[in-house]
Amino acid sequence: MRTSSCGNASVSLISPRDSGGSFGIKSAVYAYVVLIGLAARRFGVPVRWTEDRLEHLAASSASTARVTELEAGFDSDGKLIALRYDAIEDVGAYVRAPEPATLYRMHGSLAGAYDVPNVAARNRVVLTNRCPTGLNRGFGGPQVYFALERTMAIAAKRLDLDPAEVARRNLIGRDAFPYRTASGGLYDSGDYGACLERALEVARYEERRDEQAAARAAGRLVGIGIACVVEPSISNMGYITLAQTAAERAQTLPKSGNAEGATVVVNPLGGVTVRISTTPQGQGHKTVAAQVVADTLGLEPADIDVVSELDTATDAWTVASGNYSSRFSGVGAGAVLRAAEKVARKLEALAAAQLGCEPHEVELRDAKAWHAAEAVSVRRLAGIAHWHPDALPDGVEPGLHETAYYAAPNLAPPDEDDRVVSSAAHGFLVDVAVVEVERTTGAVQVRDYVSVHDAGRLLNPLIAEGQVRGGFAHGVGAALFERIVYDEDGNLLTGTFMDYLCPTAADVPSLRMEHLETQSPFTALGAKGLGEGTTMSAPVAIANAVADALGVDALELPLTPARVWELLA
Amino acid sequence: MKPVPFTYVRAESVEHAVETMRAHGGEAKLLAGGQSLVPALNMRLARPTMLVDLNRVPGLDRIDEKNGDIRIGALVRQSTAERTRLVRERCPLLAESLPLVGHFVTRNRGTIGGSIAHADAAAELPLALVALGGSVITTLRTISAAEFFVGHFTTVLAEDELVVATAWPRTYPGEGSAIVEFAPRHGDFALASSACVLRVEDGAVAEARLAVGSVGERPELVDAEPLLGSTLDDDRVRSVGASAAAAVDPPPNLHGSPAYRRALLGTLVERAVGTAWARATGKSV
Repeated sequence: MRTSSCGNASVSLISPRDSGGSFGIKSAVYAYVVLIGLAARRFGVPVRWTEDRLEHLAASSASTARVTELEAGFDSDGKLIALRYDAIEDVGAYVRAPEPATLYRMHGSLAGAYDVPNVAARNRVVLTNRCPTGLNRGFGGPQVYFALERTMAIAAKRLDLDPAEVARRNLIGRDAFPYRTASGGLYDSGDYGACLERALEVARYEERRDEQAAARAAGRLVGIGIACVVEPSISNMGYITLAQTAAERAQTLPKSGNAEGATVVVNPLGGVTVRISTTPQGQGHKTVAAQVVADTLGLEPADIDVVSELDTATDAWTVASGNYSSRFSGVGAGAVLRAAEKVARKLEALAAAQLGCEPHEVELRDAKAWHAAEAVSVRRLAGIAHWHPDALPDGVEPGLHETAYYAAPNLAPPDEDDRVVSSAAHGFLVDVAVVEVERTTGAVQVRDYVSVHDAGRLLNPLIAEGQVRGGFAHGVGAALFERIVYDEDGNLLTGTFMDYLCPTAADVPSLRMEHLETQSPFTALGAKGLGEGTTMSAPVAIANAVADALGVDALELPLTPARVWELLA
Repeated sequence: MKPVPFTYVRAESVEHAVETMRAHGGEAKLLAGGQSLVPALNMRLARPTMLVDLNRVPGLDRIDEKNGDIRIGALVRQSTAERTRLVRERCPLLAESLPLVGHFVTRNRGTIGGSIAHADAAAELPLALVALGGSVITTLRTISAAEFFVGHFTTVLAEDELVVATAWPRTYPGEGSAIVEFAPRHGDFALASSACVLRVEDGAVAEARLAVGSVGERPELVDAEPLLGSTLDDDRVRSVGASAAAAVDPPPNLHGSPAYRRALLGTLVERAVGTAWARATGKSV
């Protein structure tokens, strides 16, 4: 399809430093993006697109709606041996790239945290006259885990086992990593059993069950729900091609991996600037990039200037660049580390010539390069690289400007049997929700919520906590509030934030969290993504708790008071 | 989010506002706090050709006590009333209603008179005014709350008639009141609401006013007669709740079916009555 006659080199993207919230909405090429380009060429002026709230809610992008039929086969010991998914995905008015990727983002993780040898999946897409769909925090995860973890809770009832016990019997063992899933995923690391036991301990699970029995005896509707969730991060660009047949895939360039670039520049005065291409919208990429570079070069984070504007004509990027699939701590920070390491090696080479030692004997700390008790400042080394090429050791280029790329390993294209390593890193979390349902109003009160999380090495604990809390708020929205509604004639009824209800700070229950740290062998810093786990877990953890409170199996999200009241009637 | 073009006039006085309204015969709208009107303009749900801004009109921002009423000027901000000691001490039902109106930032702009004149069927202040048997003072007359509200967004106000103040009957010893509502989130429009004022003498209900909101075209008084002449017990409260629920016919709403809202109303009436009783007597039902 030829839409505009301009050379490929004249198409570039410039993304500002502060571009505001996203949560996935920016990960699509919207019709207006093409239209403003055409309009700008036609009229020879800059063109801006302004979209108001109603237009945005009506026609930009929404999460998919999915109906999943999930069959689960257990042996007599409560061991899950087979899963069969049949999913029907409503992608709205048309399939807009990267859809139908919501179906495939989780492809390698269809069995979640469980060791299941047999997994079958049938995916069908339906087009409706609703808003087209796209990425939304958790992307595909909430849909899969709602089906899977509801199934596990229902199975526990039928097996006459406690849900925690069913999880315990089925979690992938700590010695099984790296673990190959039936659908092709490669889980990097984890200690799922330890995470479960810690979550149960923090939640005082046994005590809660006793309290629940007492409350029930008094006529109160108290329920407890558990969700065990593997949180994939760093998506394999190749999984999107699962929407094609293996034969179709063979006709085109195979796609794989998830690569990122970064540049570290040292000016003649020793000032350090990092350029990143991960287009942060408030996730703290600049803070973490500064930490990584400072640690590598023996400087303080405050000394590092981080530039997050992106210009694809000049910056280090790949088609996978950007801010999605919780990829920063894995590959974004990885690229920063590799670029900083290149600069460090060069500083060491320069210092070795000054200090009369071998480069590997040089240690960078306190803004100096040290050999034993002798040191030369980074500032002086930078001055040499810029001002004094004559002093450079053999084979060392002038300047201190290094770009590096990093791609997570082990992300191959889908195989002929539609198996794929859909993500590079896999965090894990166990959530325990305690709810009480008010009989007269149907209101769901979350009495306690615990999330014990393992996202590998935490690069910045404060940012990690913010991400988990933010993900939780989104999960609570999906569980209790958010719903796009059309009337019988297809008119949108939820065109304002008075009708489309997002939880406000007052509506988000308090969250108790802990972190375990099982490092990833597949990322440069051992870190895994962590921004989406609680978005995946909270809807089903709360749903499991409500189902437990009401003693019902069939639930639909969101669990609005009116819906819950009808379940009670 | 793009209003239809309109002319803007800043009223210098009540008379100026009235003259301007009269000259535009129904095409003009009064702008007070703007917390309902401005979103309605932006969504093009309201398309006036002129806005008459009352915010600089002097003399409409006083709160005082007169003849047993707390009289609140039309332009008094909701947040100001919320923080006023006279309101808290003499009109606890209004004081309890105010935090339920929108959010504190909207209450910093929203006015008492504006909320009453806007007459949203789910709004708290009209419900409280009806429950208390208060009145609306306009440029032409004084209108009892029960007569003032006609329907959703509709009042008996003439096109050139301006709300100057509202009058809220003060509380006396032996009285207890309560307003309760149920909304999906705090600050949302209620799916059902109820307000109750009881006067208790010698341990029995001597006077009772009970109103329901959000479930019909306007806040309305419902039959409180069964509450009179006795102490309250569970059965009596429940039966008043059930009759109030049976008497309303709420329309379906995005957040609840008629059946749900009716049942909810019964529960809220029980709570309003029970809480008012507890406040009047210091005893729970």
